[in-house]
Amino acid sequence: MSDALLIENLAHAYGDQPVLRGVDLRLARGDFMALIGPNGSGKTTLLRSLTGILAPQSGRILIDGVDLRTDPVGAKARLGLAIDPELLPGALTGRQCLKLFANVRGIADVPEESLDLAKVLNFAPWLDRLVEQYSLGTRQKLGILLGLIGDPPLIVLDEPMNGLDPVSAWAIKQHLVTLTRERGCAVLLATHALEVAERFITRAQLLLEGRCARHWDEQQLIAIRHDPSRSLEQAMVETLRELAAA
Amino acid sequence: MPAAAFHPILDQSLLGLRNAARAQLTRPAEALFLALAWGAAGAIAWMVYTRLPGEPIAAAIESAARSPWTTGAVLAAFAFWVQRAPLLMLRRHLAESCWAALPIARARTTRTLLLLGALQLALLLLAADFALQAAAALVRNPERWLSAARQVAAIGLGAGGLAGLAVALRRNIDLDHAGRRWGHGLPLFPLPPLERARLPVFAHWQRIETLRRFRAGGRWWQWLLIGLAIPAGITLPSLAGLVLMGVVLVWYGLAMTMARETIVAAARLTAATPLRLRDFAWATARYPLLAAGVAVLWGTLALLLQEAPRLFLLGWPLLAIGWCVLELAVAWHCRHRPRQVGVRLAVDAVLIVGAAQAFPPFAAVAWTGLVAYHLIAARRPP
Repeated sequence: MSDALLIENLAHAYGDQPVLRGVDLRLARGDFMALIGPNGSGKTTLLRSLTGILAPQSGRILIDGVDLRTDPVGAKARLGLAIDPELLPGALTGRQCLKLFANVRGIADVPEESLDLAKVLNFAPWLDRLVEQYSLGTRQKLGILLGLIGDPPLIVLDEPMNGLDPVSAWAIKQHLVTLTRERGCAVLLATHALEVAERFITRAQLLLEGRCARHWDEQQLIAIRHDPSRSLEQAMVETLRELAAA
Repeated sequence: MPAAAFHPILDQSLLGLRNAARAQLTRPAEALFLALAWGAAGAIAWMVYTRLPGEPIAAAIESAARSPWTTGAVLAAFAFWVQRAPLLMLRRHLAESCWAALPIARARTTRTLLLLGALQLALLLLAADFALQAAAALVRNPERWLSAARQVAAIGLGAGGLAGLAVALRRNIDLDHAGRRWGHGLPLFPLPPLERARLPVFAHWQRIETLRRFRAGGRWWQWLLIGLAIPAGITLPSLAGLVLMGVVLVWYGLAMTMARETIVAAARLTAATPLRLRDFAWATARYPLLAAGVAVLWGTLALLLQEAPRLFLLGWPLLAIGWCVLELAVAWHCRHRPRQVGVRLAVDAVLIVGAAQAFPPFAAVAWTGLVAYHLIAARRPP
């Protein structure tokens, strides 16, 4: 079985300012990876590249074995991106958005699973209201629901817990864990909320100045979790200090 | 062709329109108000149309139709830009919006752009033909120029529109730089009266927004109207005056629009700060008032170059400053309800024009009453 995501030597610059300098990343099916790093480290550019919004200047991206450059439609069919709340169409209702996105993925109507998750997230009462009436947290829920339609092999989320109430945030994390463990989906989660992420993820990747600076595997993360004096946040800060000193 | 042949943004737009229509029906008072406002605007447009001087307009069209290559080239350039700019903006939107990461074939996007481009071109041709027929209805014996003018318009607009469509659909176009709505906003020189006053950031904000929009280009309708207003055999000073007046009108209109939009954005930004309305109003009035002063000076020079009658020389400053004050009053009044600003301004303009049609001094009374109403209403808490 091919990797859910394979990124090879990805590079991109804005003008003469390099942002990604040869990023290599691999996500197997079932992986739940947190992409971490300080502001300006290249996380957003990396996510924009692998969702096809931005064409990187060099390198290769394979989603579930399909090359994003040569077969963008095939690659995007295997990718679920949680939509940025700012980009949601305000003139539509949540249900209309879900149906439209389902149709694009070749699904005739809103999947039952999406409606079930909407109930768990307490989003069901908002389904038939216009998106422009939603709060930030409600928009965030809809953006995540749109990204999860059709259980794609690779799910990408950028700060998905922003604005979510604790009950919904917990439900989303549980759902993502279920998708990775039971359905073999891979999740790439870009976040600064390390204390939240470290309990659920199986791997963490630190991005710094456009390069993969440090990687933590499942065993290392378990060790961090079981040591009350340590945390992923602390490990990241120590790594950043070490790299700055070097 | 099945709906799946096109980009889902068409479905999104249709659903959005349906939702908006349904929502409007749930607000009958507002719907009635809008219907009345549009009805009044239509009635005034009809009244203005019936009083248009038919013979000079027909003579201008006839003169343009006698130079088919020049007129055709102007119309083709106009149609090219009118077609290209919105299609590139749409392409850019599709490449960056919530649709960007979805598996949508390029062919669906291309077919959608083709469909929208064809509809836009058809509308443009229909509008041009409608305008010519309307001009023909004002005069006797339009046969001697109508047919030629319709052909020139159809060929010029058609050729330019198709070229614009082809360029907008080009595969390897750089969307990062094409279809941008904004240019750079760095002022060329300082303006001490704005920068040394209290709360200078608001005026600076209005100024750079105006510069960005003006330098981004566009507004082809306005440039076409200016181009078509140039009569045959015009003297060089008059031509310079006409072009200068055109630039003044386009720039001033833009400065007022951006000042108004910035007031709404600034009100939202400072809503939770202890900023008094009086200070906010004065800080956001300086740039538009300065722009009005500049427009009055350059506009007066343009009128002098055209040897315009004294009535125009007296009327232009009143019109420019009156327009500015009304825009500011409406923007302050509706600063927390941005959707109402455009409708309010349109309704006020209709009322003032209507009053002027009945008896010209009534326009001043209507203007004073409306400005006073908006200023009083602006003081009420949102």
